[in-house]
Amino acid sequence: MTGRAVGITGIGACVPERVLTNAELERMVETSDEWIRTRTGIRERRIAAPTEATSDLAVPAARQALTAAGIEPEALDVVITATMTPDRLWPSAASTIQGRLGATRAAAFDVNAACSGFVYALALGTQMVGTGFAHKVLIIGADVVSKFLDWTDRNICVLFGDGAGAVVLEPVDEEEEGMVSFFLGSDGARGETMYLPAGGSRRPPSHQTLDEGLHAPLMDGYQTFEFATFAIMDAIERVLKGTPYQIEDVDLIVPHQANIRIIKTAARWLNVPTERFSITIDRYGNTVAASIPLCLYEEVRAGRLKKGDLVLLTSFGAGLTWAGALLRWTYEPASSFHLRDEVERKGEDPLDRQKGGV
Amino acid sequence: MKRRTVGITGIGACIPQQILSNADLEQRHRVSDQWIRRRTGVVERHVCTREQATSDLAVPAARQALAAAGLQPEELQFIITATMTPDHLWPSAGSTIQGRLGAANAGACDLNAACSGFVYALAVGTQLVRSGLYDNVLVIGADVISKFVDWTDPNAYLFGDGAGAVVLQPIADQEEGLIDFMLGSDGSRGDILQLPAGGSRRPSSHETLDQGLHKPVMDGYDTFEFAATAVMDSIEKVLAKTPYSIEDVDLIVPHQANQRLFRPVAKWLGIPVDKFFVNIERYGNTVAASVPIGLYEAVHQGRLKKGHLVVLTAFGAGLTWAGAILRWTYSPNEHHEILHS
Amino acid sequence: MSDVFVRFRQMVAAVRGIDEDRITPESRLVEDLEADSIDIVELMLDAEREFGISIEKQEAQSLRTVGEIVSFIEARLAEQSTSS
Repeated sequence: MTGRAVGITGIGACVPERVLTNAELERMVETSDEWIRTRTGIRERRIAAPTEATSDLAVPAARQALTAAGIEPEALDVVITATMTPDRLWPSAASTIQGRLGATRAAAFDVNAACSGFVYALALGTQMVGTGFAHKVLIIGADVVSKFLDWTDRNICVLFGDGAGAVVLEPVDEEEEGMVSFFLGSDGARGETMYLPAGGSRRPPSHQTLDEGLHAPLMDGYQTFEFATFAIMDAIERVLKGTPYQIEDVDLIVPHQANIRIIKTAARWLNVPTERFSITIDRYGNTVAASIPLCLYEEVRAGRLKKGDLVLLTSFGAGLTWAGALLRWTYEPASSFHLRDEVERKGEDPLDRQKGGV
Repeated sequence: MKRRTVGITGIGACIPQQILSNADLEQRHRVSDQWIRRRTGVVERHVCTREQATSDLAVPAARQALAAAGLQPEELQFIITATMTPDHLWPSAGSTIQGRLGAANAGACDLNAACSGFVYALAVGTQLVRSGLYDNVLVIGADVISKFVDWTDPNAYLFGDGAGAVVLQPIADQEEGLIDFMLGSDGSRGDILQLPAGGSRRPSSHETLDQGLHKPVMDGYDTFEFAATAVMDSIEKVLAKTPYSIEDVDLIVPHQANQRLFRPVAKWLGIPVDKFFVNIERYGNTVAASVPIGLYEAVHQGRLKKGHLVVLTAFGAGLTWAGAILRWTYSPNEHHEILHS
Repeated sequence: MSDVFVRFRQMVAAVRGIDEDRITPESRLVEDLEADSIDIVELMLDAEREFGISIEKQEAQSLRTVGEIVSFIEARLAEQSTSS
């Protein structure tokens, strides 16, 4: 890549307060805590309140990332939100977030590459800063997939959770390295592996699509597992290729959190101990585009991810899409600044019109 | 630091075969052709059949753009689809299109900035090529908004369906190509143009359908005021980033939101109104597709030629607005009518 | 006739494509001059540029005749000259 070096200079995350445990799910659908834990590695997940949508989680995560980077909202040039569950089809979640942040100078758009969305958005944002087109870019990964689940489908509803994570991208010194390489892949020919049948222009929402149950995700478990393990290996190989680094040089691998068994399989195939993988799926489930920034946040908070570490991100999801990023970590929390747990959430719709327009 | 020069090297466009004219609307609803023409300038629009969706228009447009650029689908490295009406919430329309094109080596995603989406995607795609990450990028603007409008609502008469696509590649520095962009957003006024239900705020349900929350909300006064200001702001700001002034511009290709917009804006800019390329009478407002369809027609009608200085301006839900300034770098080998699907 | 009226009358004539003679202070924009809501936005944006003032949507929608708009603009201009 030509252009200036770009790095992450701040991070934030936000999850809903409501914890949904496997024990509770046992009472909702025919399943068991043991089955869920052994098949997926998930113990509990966070679920948005009825009034909460994607921007409600994204805004606090974004504020925290801005504070961590020590920049005001007005200084932002671009807000990119990776999501497949925006508040609305239009306006974009990013514009709503931009407005609520008071990022008055910033452009805003959503990127949809499903669970790979955050890595995709990170790649796009990096090029925007790298060429000098923008200087301060906020990248958000946020999804509230719980609103689209069929809570009687025991094979799928147990897998997901809601969340948001955000990072700030800025130019960094050449010797800090920052973003090293990216790989972005797609295989749309296998798109049916996981998809939401209705709600878009193919089958717009109607009483009929609702009655036919077409507003809940479909997923082929076998094909998904097969694709995910391939995708992790392929993305890692491709992001390392052409760089001076090998898998042994990587301090931390942050995989999309879809299933613990996918991660363990990849660790075995790569011959890398699972300790070098970031794992948060036990607490949050699969949070779609939020899973990678949530992991990064948790690793920084735990002191396991430090400035100078070489990090490899790898994700895969609907599309099919898969993606990888190799980066030198460039953020260090200030001693006066503590990454927090508690978050401010509003859960009110900023686009609801005073005069009963909606 | 070496940054590459990037240009448009191929273009394609596609609209649905089915025409919905004002006369058709007159027969079905209590509205007159004259009223629609005076309010919007739209005479007819093309709308998809029940079976068609956004990727069905985007794929032919993309194939045409690739052929124009002399590229095989396998040579593509990235596809950005600007849309607010993807086939599905997941997978993205971008991935579906990538699969159908057989662009086996390309990454793909959707970008949503509503009617500004194509200019936003062009700005993003340009950085992907400029930085050296990719050599061959496809940028698509495609929307099938007819699936989300209620034809008994007068707001609906503005809209139509369509798709346009361009190929971005590195070009010689002296050709200039895509010179600069301005991208704006004002989410605090997002309420004036929106689709209330169907996302994570109000997922689709029998109640949201019964409450009529699945049709676009559009405040006419606020929207027109915003649009007029946005066109001025985007043109002035994007020119200010370059050594050029409005007199140097050969053609402005605007988002086609309303015919009525162009006369006042031309007046304020002090330019003749025919510097704006207008085709809204035949297609209506095709959301993210309107700018690439405009470019396509301008090229094939001979109004846009290699070497011309072009300004693109777009605005829409978000609120978002965007401007681009470019030196046109593509000339077609032969005349092509717009594709129908 | 005030200077503001003369200038505003020119704008109305241009936006509506009618002779200036047809426009009096008593002319109602919608009923007499057949302006629609888009004409009104254009006129308000014209006036904002021409006179360097700002007119809110609620204000614009409360003004019915050419004379009312002219008085409104004159009042705004007077406020600005006293406050600056």
